[in-house]
Amino acid sequence: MSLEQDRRAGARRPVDPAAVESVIGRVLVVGTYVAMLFILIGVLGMLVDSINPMSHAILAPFDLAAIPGDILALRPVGFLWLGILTVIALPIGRVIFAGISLLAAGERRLALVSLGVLLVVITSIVAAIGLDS
Amino acid sequence: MIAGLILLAGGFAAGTFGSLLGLGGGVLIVPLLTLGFGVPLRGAVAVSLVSVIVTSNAGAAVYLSRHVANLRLGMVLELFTASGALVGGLVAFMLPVEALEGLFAALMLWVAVSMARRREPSERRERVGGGGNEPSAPEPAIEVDRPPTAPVTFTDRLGGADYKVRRLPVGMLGSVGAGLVSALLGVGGGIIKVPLMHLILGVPLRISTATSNMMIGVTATSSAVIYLLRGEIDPFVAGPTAVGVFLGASLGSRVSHRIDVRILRWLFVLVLLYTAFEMTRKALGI
Repeated sequence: MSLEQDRRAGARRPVDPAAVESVIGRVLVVGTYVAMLFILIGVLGMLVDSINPMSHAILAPFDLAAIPGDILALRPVGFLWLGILTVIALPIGRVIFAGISLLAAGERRLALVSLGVLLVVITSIVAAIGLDS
Repeated sequence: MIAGLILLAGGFAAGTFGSLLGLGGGVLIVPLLTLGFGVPLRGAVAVSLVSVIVTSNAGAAVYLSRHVANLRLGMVLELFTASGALVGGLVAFMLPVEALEGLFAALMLWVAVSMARRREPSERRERVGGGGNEPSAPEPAIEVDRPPTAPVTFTDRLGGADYKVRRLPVGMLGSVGAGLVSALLGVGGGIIKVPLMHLILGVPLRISTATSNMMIGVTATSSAVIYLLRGEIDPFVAGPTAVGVFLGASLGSRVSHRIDVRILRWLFVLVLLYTAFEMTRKALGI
């Protein structure tokens, strides 16, 4: 059956899991290097500014809104937070991408599993904010 | 300035040895930061979680590109590891630090005993190197429009080309435990997930190792966000440690097939036992 016939018959083309895995693998490689680059810039900035991480006082509590300003001002802490956030975001991005790919493949149960994982992460965020307040 | 470099070197050592010995960095990073650098335990766990996510991201990238990790099984199990990690991340703030130190000491004892009993050398090569560079056969494409007669269950679809997944409910339950341990103690939880998948679920060792590595990222993320939003991650400690672990793990994975780790392993068992002793002393306030 030709592609045109397939399309007319309303048949969906199979999604190749190997191709999905390759794409996720490439995104993770690039993302990891980007995250490491941000963190490395922050670490070099720390060394230049002679910041002592052993003071054991959290010198820069997490503040999402302050990160862009810190980066524009070339403060090491901005790059460190951006790198750390990228590190944490990568597995979440992997789950979202895999979930969408599985949904496109008609694998609804596995796509629901991805949604479940995302809900757990969202619950973690909500719970942490709730505990804090 | 020197302190940052020392942290980076410590992370590098933890990453290298962890990779050579088939462990995530967590079991080394937490005692390194608490006993070596005086970082409070929860802060050390938080930094360790960031570091294990880094190594998981890097490892998952390689394993997925080579089609060694089982993405479908990993996704199902990580729903349960993430749930366990969510609970563990919350419980970690309710337990006294001494209890966490005692739990960590127990974990180190378990790891030391597991390593002492590990058989060499063929099995180690599988565990550490992910079975070498050759990828496993890729899974066939998902046929969406299957004939209605095809007797394929959900669990069947989680298996690979040459193996089937068994006892999935036990795997789910064990995964909750792995997530709980990961969040409480800042480790990847591979020490639980790999035997669980291999021995209980019937997944080949190499695929279990790769899948466990991939799952660690999501598991640790679920609890890392709790530590992050509760202000336990110190970026000035996490930054140099994560870079060091990343570089060390990269080096370890490249040289692991050239190094006879038997002596290193026994040395490591001794270090773990000593660290467990020190952690117990700290927990008991002796």
